[in-house]
Amino acid sequence: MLRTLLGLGAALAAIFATPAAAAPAADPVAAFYKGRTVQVLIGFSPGGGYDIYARTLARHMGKHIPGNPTMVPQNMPGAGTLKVANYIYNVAPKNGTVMGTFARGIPMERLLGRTEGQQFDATKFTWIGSVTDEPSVCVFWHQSGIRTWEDMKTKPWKVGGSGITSDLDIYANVLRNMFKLPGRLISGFPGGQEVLLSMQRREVDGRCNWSWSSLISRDKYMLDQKLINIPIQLGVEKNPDLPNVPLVLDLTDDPKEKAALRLIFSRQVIARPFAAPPGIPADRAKALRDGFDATMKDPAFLAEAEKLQLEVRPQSGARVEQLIKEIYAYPPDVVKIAASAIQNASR
Amino acid sequence: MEGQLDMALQALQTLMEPHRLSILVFGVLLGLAIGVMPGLGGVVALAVLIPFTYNMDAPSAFALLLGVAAVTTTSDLIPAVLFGVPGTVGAAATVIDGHALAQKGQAGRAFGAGFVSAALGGVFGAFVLALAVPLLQPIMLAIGSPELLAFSIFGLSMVATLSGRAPLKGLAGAGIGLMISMVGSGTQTGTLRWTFDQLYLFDGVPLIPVTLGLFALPELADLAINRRRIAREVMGNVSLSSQWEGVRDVGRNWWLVIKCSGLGTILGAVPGIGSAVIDWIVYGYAARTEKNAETFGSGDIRGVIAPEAANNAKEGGHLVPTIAFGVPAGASMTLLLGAFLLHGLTPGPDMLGRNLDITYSIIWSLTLANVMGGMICLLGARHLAKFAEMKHETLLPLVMPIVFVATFQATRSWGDLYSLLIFGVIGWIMKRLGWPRPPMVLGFVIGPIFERYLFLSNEIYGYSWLMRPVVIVIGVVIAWALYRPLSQTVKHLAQEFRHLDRTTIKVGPGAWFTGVWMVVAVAALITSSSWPEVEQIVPRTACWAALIAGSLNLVTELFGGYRPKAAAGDSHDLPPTDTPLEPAVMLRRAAEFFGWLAGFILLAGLFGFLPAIGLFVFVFMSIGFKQPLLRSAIFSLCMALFCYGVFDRGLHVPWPQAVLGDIWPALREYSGLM
Repeated sequence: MLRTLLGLGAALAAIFATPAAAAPAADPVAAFYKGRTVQVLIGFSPGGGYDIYARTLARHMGKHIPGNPTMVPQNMPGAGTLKVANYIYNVAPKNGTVMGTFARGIPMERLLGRTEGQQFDATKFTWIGSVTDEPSVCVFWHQSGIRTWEDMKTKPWKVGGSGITSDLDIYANVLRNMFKLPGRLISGFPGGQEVLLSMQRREVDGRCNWSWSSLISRDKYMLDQKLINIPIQLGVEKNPDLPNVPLVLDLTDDPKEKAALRLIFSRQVIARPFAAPPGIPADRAKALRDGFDATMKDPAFLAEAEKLQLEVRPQSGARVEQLIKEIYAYPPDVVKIAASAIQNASR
Repeated sequence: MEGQLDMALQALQTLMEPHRLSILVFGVLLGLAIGVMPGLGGVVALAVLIPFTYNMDAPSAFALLLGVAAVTTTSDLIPAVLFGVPGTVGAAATVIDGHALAQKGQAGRAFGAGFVSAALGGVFGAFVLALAVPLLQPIMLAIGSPELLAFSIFGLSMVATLSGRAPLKGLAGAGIGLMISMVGSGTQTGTLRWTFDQLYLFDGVPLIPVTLGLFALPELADLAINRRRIAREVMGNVSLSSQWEGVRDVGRNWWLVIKCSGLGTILGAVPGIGSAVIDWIVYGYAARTEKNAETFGSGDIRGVIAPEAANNAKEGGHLVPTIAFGVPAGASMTLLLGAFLLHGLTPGPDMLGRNLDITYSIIWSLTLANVMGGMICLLGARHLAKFAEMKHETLLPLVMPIVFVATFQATRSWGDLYSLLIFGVIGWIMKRLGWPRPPMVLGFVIGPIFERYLFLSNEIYGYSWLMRPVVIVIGVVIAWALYRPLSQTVKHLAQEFRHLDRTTIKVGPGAWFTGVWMVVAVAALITSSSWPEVEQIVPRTACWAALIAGSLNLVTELFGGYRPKAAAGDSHDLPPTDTPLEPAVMLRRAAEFFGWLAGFILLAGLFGFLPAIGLFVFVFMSIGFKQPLLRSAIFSLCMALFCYGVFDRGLHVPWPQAVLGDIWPALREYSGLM
């Protein structure tokens, strides 16, 4: 019986097999990828920034990998993208047919003392690259009375968040803890867009972390009509578009605090990260990384990114890997400051 | 205003250009096809189609996308009526009366009424959206977290109506549904609740396996157990004339259509409340407000009209927050939002000003798609009604693999199939023991929204959220909706408890089932005690509700001498199919049925998903139902090739890794199927 079933299974498998996959080719990588699909897992629901970046990348990257595999995006939301990170690290086949994207802060969660549900070592992923680095800002509604950093330090305010692992919450908490600000964090919104709506209803005063590119591409009118104030920018370098808005790193003179802020906000450098499982064959890892880099220069990709108003300032896989290693090499006392800064302060 | 009318007419003109119209028709046909496939809904279709719209102009792109999205909830009626298998998660409520009508040989009437009310509902939703365009922003700004909370409580209050005369079971079920919805990472601190270190559960239990498990598998199981055709009475002629009867039913109930469409539109505008519960809420609402509602549940045409109208109307409502603020109200809207951005449209003032013409073309697409969808179904669906006359031994092998592979689309992991099996067994037992299933779905879907807005409302407003005018209005509606069911319930319970027989204890299956749920609730209470306080409140309240309702129910099960005569429609759920079978035979056949399902999971784990479908159909037919080998082989080959074409080639589904692929990696590399 079993033998019959096995035979039948093999026969069926033969029927279903893609003929193209069998074609011999000189390049083993091309031979592997030919006629195959590569999954691009997205740790978020459809429609958001990470999702658009991933889908745009997936549409173009296939033609820059030998054998031209079909890249298929798939959403796998859950637990602030921990699910997809765990999945890529542990469950996904380690043969170069899966890559994915998760929250930019996920790689440093363990370092900062958050280990619940973490089943991976961020330094060991096969990092493919990041499509862009991204300055971010705090935004307050024009009627909130918060115009400047000085206001943030002296007047009470409320910002919205979407769960402890989201950058909305982490950045708000870092500011409140590190600078002893009189602000509140109201968490539990489904996402940043809902926080914006709530801000317009005057339920909250603003959001602390809005990626500059999303602001420009989706809600520039708010800026043009002076509906919002930007008291502070978040990142490790000043955004040339915002010369007069203070950078969070410049707000402290204490070198250790500065280092801790640098540690936390360095995630903005790898704003749209992509990674494959650890231990995939070296030639395929190289093919994926090279394919990513080539896509970043592909005129078709760039044209589409421009149409979607997506910023493209790529970081190579090697650069992302190096950055993660640097982050994990920070001195323990700095890590300690950073770890206590991201804690959810009492309301 | 005049300028807006001009713009609306101009948008219609743009859309009526032949190439756009044909794109719309194509979208509608595709949407109808997807709606018929159980488990596949608009979300899958949109995800696949959006890349194809890159090179289209915006009106064409939205004609395609809305053509698809608008009508999946029209054709999902077809499998719901014929097999009791909802075509999308939104058709579960239609199953109750629609399938009962099919069993009486009135599938045609259900079709006629369902398609027409769906089309009318869809047009109504689009019409409301068009009227509301100038007011969209003020409307959305008036609805804050407290209002959203009030809407979700309104939804939960329908548990009372949907429980019928089994209030304790309904309440316990709702509590359990709420508990299950709390699985996953908490919204406040990210605590992993009841995930047991299973990656699958990090994002909670997905909706599709739950609805298909609770509503589709029990019907299929009973088909396998009773071994009869679905249409127990002669179908007669599912002709245009029988459908015409359904159309006339809609005419007689025009006020119900308008009420339900209105409710569907409003609920659709509430982010998070999607088709999976709108159908139930509206069904409950109809059962609560209609005269002579006791026939609901046993083939009342109004039970088809109400959810169908609402579910198509909701699409117009869904678009309100999406267009006005870029806040998607449902899963399909998040994708549509992505498409907006892709075409350079930013939701908000832009779509209500500079790009108003496109907003109107979206509304027209929605309107036309609904009308076309209804007409195509009216003309075409009756041919499909013959499926209900198929014998179980050929019908089951056709429907079951589709249910499997569609369930697998939920998250594309093995967990989907385990969930399907688990909820299938639970659903079948509930159906048998008279536990109403809709309350469980309501608790499951509304739970997370309720929790979210409960916290936000409290955080932002303190207790003053209760004093907001819209909240008060909704509160009055809730009180009105609860009053009659609650007073009936109290009377009914008092009667039941008066008739308790304290001398004899009967430990029947009902008592066992209740007992198991209580053990689950206690275990859930124990395992949740270490969570942060904010993450405990809603889940543990749900546990206690389930536990208290469960223990009261246990008392009536153990000592219940008094049995109210079970009238059809008592629990607003399908009455257990009247069966002359011995309990032992029934149990054996049920075990066999679910055994086959487990066997499929095993086969898929060994040989890969697609090969397993071929194998399963072959073995199921030839051994399970003793069909000729040749026929079984042909069926199996057709099903496997069909699934291969749609899911592997069409949707590029990544198949899970199977044992065979581990043993022979070359085979995995070669086929990509295992």
